[in-house]
Amino acid sequence: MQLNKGIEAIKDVLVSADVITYEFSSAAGKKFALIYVDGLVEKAQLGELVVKPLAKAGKEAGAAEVRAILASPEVKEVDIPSAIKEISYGSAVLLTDGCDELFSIGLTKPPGRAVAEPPTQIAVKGPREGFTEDIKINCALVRKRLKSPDLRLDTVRTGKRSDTAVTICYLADVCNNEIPKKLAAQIAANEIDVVADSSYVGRFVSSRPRSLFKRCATCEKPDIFCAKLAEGRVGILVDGSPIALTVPYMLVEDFQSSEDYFISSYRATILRFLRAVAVVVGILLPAVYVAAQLFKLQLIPFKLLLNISSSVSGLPLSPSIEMFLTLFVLEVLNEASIRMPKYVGLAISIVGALVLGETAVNAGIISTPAIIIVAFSAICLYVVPDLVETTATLRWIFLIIAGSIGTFGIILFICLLMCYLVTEQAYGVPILAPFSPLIPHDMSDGLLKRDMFSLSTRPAALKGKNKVRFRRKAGGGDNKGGNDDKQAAKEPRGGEDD
Amino acid sequence: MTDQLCTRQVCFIMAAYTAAGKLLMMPAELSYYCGGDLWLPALIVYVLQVAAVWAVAFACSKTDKTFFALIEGVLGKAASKVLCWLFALFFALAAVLPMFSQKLFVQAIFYDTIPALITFLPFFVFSVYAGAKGLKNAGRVADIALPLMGISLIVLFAMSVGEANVGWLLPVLRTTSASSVFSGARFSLYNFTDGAMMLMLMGRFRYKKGDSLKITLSYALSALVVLLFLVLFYSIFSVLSPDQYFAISKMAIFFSALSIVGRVDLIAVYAVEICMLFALAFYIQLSVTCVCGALGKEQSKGRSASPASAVASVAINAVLLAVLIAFNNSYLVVQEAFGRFLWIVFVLFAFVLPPLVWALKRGMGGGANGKVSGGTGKKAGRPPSG
Repeated sequence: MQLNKGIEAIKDVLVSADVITYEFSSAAGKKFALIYVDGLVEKAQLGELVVKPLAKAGKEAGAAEVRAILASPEVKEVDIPSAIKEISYGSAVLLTDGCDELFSIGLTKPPGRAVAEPPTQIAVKGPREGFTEDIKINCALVRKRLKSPDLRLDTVRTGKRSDTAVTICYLADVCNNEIPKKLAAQIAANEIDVVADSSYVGRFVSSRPRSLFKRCATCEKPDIFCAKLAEGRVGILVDGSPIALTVPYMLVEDFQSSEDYFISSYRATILRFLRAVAVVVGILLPAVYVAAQLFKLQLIPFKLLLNISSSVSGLPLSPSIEMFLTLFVLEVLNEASIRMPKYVGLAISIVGALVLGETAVNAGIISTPAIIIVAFSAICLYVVPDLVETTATLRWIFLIIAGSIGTFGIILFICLLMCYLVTEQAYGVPILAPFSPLIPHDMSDGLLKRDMFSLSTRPAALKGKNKVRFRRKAGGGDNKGGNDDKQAAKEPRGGEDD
Repeated sequence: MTDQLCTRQVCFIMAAYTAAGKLLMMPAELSYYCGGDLWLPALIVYVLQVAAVWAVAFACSKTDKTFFALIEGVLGKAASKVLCWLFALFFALAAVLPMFSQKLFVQAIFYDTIPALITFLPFFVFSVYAGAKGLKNAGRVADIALPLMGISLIVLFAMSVGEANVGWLLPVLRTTSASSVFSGARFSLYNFTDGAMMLMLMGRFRYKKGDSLKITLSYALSALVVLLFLVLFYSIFSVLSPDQYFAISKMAIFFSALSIVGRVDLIAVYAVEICMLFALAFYIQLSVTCVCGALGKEQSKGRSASPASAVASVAINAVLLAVLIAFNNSYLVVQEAFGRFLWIVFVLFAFVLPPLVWALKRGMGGGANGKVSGGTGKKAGRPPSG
C-alpha cells in the first residue's frame, strides 16, 4: 500500500486538527508516517524508540524488519479500523511505504494529575494514595496492593462517543462470580453518548437508579478498594473518574472509615457509633426543633425553652418558615462555596457567616437557635460525607413533614423509610444488612468493630466463596483473642431469610 | 412452603409485635376491673395464649405447610378460601381497637393540644404501603423493631422503677373477687390475637429442630415483659391506674433527672411507638396476606408488592379509615362492643382454632410424625396464594 493512501484512509475518518501526521524517511530513503493525537502521545519516547531506529532502515525494509526494529511489547499489528481506534485511545500508528501492515505503538501518555491524597477520604493514619482519572494508573494501584493471581481486571467499554474503558475488578476465588458477569451485562445494556464519570456506571448497574438511596459504594483510595475486594465485593474503575465503585453495597459501609482498621477497635467502635448518631442528629435536629416548637414544647428542657422563647419572641416568621429559610441559606452558601473560585469562596464565607448570620439575627429575621441548629446539622451530616446527598435530601423532607404534622409525622416517615429499606437489596445483599436481616456474624464489623483476630471470616452477607480470610498458624503468639483453625473454619451464616 | 421468614424473625415477631399492642390501653382497663391484681387476668389469658402458640409452633415441626394449605388438604379448596376470607376479616377487625388507641395516643402524646383527626390520617399512607409489602417485610422490620423496643423498655423501666411501690399489689386477691378477675380476662381478650398470628406464620419459615421451643419461649418472654409492665404500672399509679391511659408515656414522668434534661423519656416512648405502629400495620399485613390467599394471587413480585396486594391493602385501609371517621369520638362505645360482644370472635380465632391445627393430621401428610419434605411435599404445601 502506498503511504499516501494509508494516510488518506485514516485522515478521512479522523478529520481533526489535533491528529498529527509526521512523515519521515530513513537514511536509505524508505518512507514512513506516524499518525497520532497531539497531547496524548509521549513524543520524546516516540522519537527515541521509533523514529531514530527506523532512520537506519533499508530501502527495501518490509513489515517483518520494521517489527524487528521496533521490538517492544507495546507494538502490535493493526488494520485500518483498529488503527483509527488506537489513535483515538492515544497510541501512535506507523505506516510504511509499500507495506500493507500498520503498527500501533502504545506510547500513550494522556495529560493527568499525579497520584495524590483524595480530598474526601483523608486519613490521619494509613495509606494516603488516591485514585486518579487515569484508569491504567488506577489498575496499577490496585495490582500493587493485590498481587494475587486471582485478581481479575476485566475491561468493557461503554459510551457511544466517549468509548470509555470500565474495568471490573474482583478476586475470582473470593467473590460471587455471578456478579462480575451481571455487571458486564448491565454496563453493555446501556447505550449512552458519553460516560463522564463513574456515577453514570453506578446508575447503569443499579437495580433502582431513581432511588434516593444508592446501590454502589464509592471510594477514592486503593487501600479501601482492595480491602473491599478482599471481603468479596466487586470493584468498578471507570476511565476519567477518580471515584471507584464497589458492589454489593450495604448502608453500614458508609459509616466505616479506613482508619477504623488501623486504630484500636474500642476507639473505632466509639467513632462508628458517633458517626451514626451524628447522621441521625443531622437529619432530624431541624425537624424535631420545628415540631417541638409548633406541637410539643415538652420535648425541650424548660430552661432551654425559656432561652429559646426569648430568642424567638418578636420574630415575624413561623418556626417552620424560619428553619426552612435558614436551611435554604445554608444550602445556597454551601453550593456557592463549592462552585466559586477559591478566593471568592473566602469572601462568600465571610459574607455568609458574618453579614447574613449576624445581621439577620440582629435584624430579628431569624433566631440564634435556628442558626445554631442548622449549622450543627450541617456539620453532623458531613461526618459521613458519602451519604450527604441522601441525608441532606432527607433533612428537607423531614423538615417539611415536621412543619406540617409534627413529631408524629417524623415517626411515621421513619417507619416508612424502615419499611422501604428493609427489603431493598443490591446484588442479592440487603442494604440494611447486618441489622436487617440480622446477621450476628457481620455485626462484629458493623457499627461495632472487633479486633482483627475476631474478624477471621469474610462478611456472611456477601455470600462469597472462601470464607476464611485470617488464620493464625501454630506458635503465632499467645493472643487469646486470636482464632484457632477450628474457629476460622467455622462457616458464618448469611441472611437466612433470603 | 413459601420460606419468607427465618425462625429468628418468627421469634422476633412473636416477641415484639405481640407485646407492643398491649402497652397502651390494657393496663388501665385491667386495673379498672382488678385493681392491684391486674396481672392475674393477663396471666390467665397469657397462659392460654402460650399454649396456643406452642400448639401451632409444635405443629410446624410436623409439617411445612401453611395453615390454609392444611385446611385445603383436609377440607378442600373451598373451605380453605372461606377461612382465608374469615381470617382476613378477623385481622382487619383486630386492627380496629389498636387503631383507635393509637389515634388517641398520638393525639395525647405527640401534641400539646388535642389536634383534629386529620393529624392521624397520614398513618394510613404508611399502613397502605406496609400492608402491601408482605410478611417478609414484617420479618425484616422485626429484626430492627425488637432490639429497638427492648432497649426503649429497659430505659423506661429503669427510669420508672425508682417510683414503684410493689406494696400496692399486695396481698394478692385482697379486694378483687374471682369474678372480677375473669371479667377482666374476658374484657381484655380482644388484645390477644397472638395464637392467630402464629397460625398465619405457620409454614412461612423453614423449621429446624428446637424451633417450637424457641418460638414459644420468645413469646413467653414477651408475656413476662408485659406482666412486669403491668406490675410496674400499678406500683407507680396505684388507685389512679384506671385513669392512666397510655401508661407507657407516663411511667417515667417522675424520674428526677427529667426536670433538668427535659422529657428525654419521650425518645424511648417514640421508639416504642415505632414498634407499636409496625405491630398495628402487621394486622393489616396479615389481613392482606389472607385476602391474596383467598384470591389465589401472589402477594409480591420480587421486591415489589403485587397489584393484588396493593389493592387489598388500599381496600382494607379504606374500610379502617371509614370506621375511624365514623366512630372518631366514640372510643368507649367501640371498646365496649369489643369487650362485651366481639370477644367471642377473638376466642374462636386466637384461642380455639390454633390448637385445632392438631385435628388436621391428615393434611400434615402421613400423620403427626410424617413430616412433609422434598419437592412434592413443598408443592402440595403451597398456600392458595401460590
